[in-house]
Amino acid sequence: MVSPTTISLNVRIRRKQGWQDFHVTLPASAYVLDILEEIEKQDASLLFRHACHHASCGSCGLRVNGRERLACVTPLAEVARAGRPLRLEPLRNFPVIGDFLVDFSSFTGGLDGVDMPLVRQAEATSVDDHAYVRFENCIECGLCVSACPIAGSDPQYLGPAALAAAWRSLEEPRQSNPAGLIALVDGEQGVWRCHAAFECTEVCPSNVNPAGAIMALRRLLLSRERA
Amino acid sequence: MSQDPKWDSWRSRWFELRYKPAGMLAFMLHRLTGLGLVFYLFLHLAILSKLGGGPESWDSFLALVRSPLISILDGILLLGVLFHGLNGLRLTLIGLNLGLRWQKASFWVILVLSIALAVWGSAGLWILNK
Repeated sequence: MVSPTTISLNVRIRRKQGWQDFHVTLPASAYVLDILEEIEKQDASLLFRHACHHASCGSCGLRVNGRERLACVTPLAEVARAGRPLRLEPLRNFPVIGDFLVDFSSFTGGLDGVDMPLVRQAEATSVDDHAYVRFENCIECGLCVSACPIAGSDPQYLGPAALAAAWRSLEEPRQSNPAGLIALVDGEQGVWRCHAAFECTEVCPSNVNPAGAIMALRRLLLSRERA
Repeated sequence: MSQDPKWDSWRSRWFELRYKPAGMLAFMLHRLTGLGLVFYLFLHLAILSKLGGGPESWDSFLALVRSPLISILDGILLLGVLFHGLNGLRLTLIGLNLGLRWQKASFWVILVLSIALAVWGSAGLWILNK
């Protein structure tokens, strides 16, 4: 059987005024980001963010058929459903500025709060022959916060990305203020607010495993209380 | 799809099971069974209040309990109790960072075990009630 070279589909986009339908025809090898760029040609008012096209900048996060994805690395052939429109929506749990643009201030503020500057290291850290997991794998895309059911019910919750960053900061011996960080993650909006739905880990495009970091933090807090 | 994106978004989060990972299904079922058990607690207290109505009131209720429909409802109740209890243990272990790598598999094991035990238990109740 010969594979189709193009895919024609209806796309339903969530905008401030409600759903808006578009029709696009793209090569079968296209990605969701190509859909947005194609729609932008039909309606120049469409707002979305993108930069690297290879899951490195984390700026093109959105929901495809209800699921958090990076538009740049989500193949159209994987998400297109015969006879049904493709549903594209902005990330949840962030204030929407317009279309797919969301306000990341609380997200980046949370990372700052746990002493995780938005800087990545080129190499994995190894101290005392112990290999540390690089939290810097996080591309700050916000998919984990969008998928988290607790972040959806409590905007004050630190959230999976910030808690995973906190775990990384505590695991890293260079941490300057571990006591303050431990108090923060042990607080009301810290690790104990997590209800272990593991949505964050499922949607993370960089395999950061925020849920695993949260559980590791809990273990650390309990062992400190025992000591 | 409706014309209201907010409703569609809410519906897809809580009622569209497609794309939901095991952890999220466990999260949803845990809440659903928890609410069901709270409802049952009040129902149970309302039923017990029949004892105040004397033997006749209670005997007529016992006749109702022996019907097959009630056996099915008993099975659903048992399923809710088993799943909620076993998943609670699963969450406790996961929360202590124990068995994290089996969190998905443990959900399916608990679900299958709960269904099997609920079917077995409700069948036993039905036989006893006959």
